Amino acid sequence: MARRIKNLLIAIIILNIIWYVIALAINKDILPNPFSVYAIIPSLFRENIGLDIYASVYRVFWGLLSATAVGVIIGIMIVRLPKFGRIANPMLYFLYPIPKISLLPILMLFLGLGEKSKIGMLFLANVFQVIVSVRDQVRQIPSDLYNSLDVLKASHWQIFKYVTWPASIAGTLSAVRIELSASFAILFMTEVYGTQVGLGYYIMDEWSKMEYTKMYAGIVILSIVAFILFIILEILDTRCNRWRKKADPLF
Amino acid sequence: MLTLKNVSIKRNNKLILEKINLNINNNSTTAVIGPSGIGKTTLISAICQLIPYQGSILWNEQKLNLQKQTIAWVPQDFGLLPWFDVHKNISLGIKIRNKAKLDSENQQAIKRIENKLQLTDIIHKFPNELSGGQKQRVALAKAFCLKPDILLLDEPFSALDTVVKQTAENLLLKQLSNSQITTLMITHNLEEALIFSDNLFILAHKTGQLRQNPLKEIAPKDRRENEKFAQILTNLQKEVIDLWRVE
Repeated sequence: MARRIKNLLIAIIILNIIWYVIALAINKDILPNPFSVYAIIPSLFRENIGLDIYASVYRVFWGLLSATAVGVIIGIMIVRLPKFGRIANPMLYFLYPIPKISLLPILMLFLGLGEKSKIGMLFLANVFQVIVSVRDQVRQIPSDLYNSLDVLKASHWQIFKYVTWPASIAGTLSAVRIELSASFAILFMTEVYGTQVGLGYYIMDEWSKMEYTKMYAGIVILSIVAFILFIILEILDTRCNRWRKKADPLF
Repeated sequence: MLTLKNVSIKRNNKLILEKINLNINNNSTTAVIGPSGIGKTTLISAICQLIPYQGSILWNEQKLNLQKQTIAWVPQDFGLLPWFDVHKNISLGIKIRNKAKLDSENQQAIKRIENKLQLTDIIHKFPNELSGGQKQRVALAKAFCLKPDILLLDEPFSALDTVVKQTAENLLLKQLSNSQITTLMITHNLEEALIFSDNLFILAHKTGQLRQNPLKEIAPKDRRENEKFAQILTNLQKEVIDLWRVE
């Protein structure tokens, strides 16, 4: 743990040195140095940036949660109900490669400009990845594991509880972790319309007012929020998937 | 008594086993011997009712019913659920059969078997943290905990190295001698078959021949040291090689 914190600190210091050097070299308002950006952050909390953080986290949370719930169910059904899988798999291959952000206008038409289309967009951005990941994870379960429970006349519920569900958790968490950075990109896109709250809105608003120091502070806060969510997911992954061979830590 | 009457099994329209007839007396061990790919595991799958078959499989003259009879199956790769620790893997079978949480009697039985099979130090480990020998002991503990009517062992020592295998054999022998279980052991290793079984069922030409183990009267743990062992093993090797060559 101490080693990981040390590595993280080194990475942050190196990033800030690079930022500082570039800011010095450019010497323009469009790239303030990191110290002036960090110095302004406490005042932003007095100006209620907490509300923007809450709005963004709220959208990401519900987007990811709904995508996970639906993705896990469909991913499992594709493998465990072969007839359903034969129809759902080609549909999945057709829909999966579509850049989900291109569906944003359609969502706006159907769900309006409010929260529904923002959460809906995050849902769409994540659900296919979760389906594919859970499907692959459940498909990899050796048939012997099912057989050893079938011999004991386990019920469908017991087979789900002891075999299918634990396997699908692994797929879900890895999918959500992979998609987290994409989720924040999508979040940013959805917060530039129909809202006056959220980190995406805040960053673009400060940009339009040419308040570049505040804009950079918003970007830093967005990165910190995403980083914290990533760490939470990693902790969840470690706790829920203790049975897997330990993967190399990210840092 | 476990009885197989005219059991034939087809897979993908190909006849794998034809008219298998086999009686396994209660509390005895029968070794099914055959080369790889001959249908040994298919035979076990049919007994476990996992695949369709023709003919009948009976338990004490009645159709084998997995709701009433308990089969403990130890597959070649031990069949442990990777997401549960050793203790949970062992207790899972009882939970499933009882359709309920474990009572104190069951918990004590599990503890006893964990002690007997020297698993107490590793009960909180996950299967991927175990050696082959440890996995096998866990799989056996899981099987014996169920107090099964029928124990099916599919190549129980094939994944173990020579040193671990010796210890595992001794543990299994001890466990089998202390329990009253009808056991079917699949192996391609004739030495194992001679040590563990009362009868040998040699698979060849899609069917099988039942033989009494010539060493049946000798206690299993003493068989390997017996003066006749080497000769009997050599004779059996010649016999089965001839059978399998024609195959």
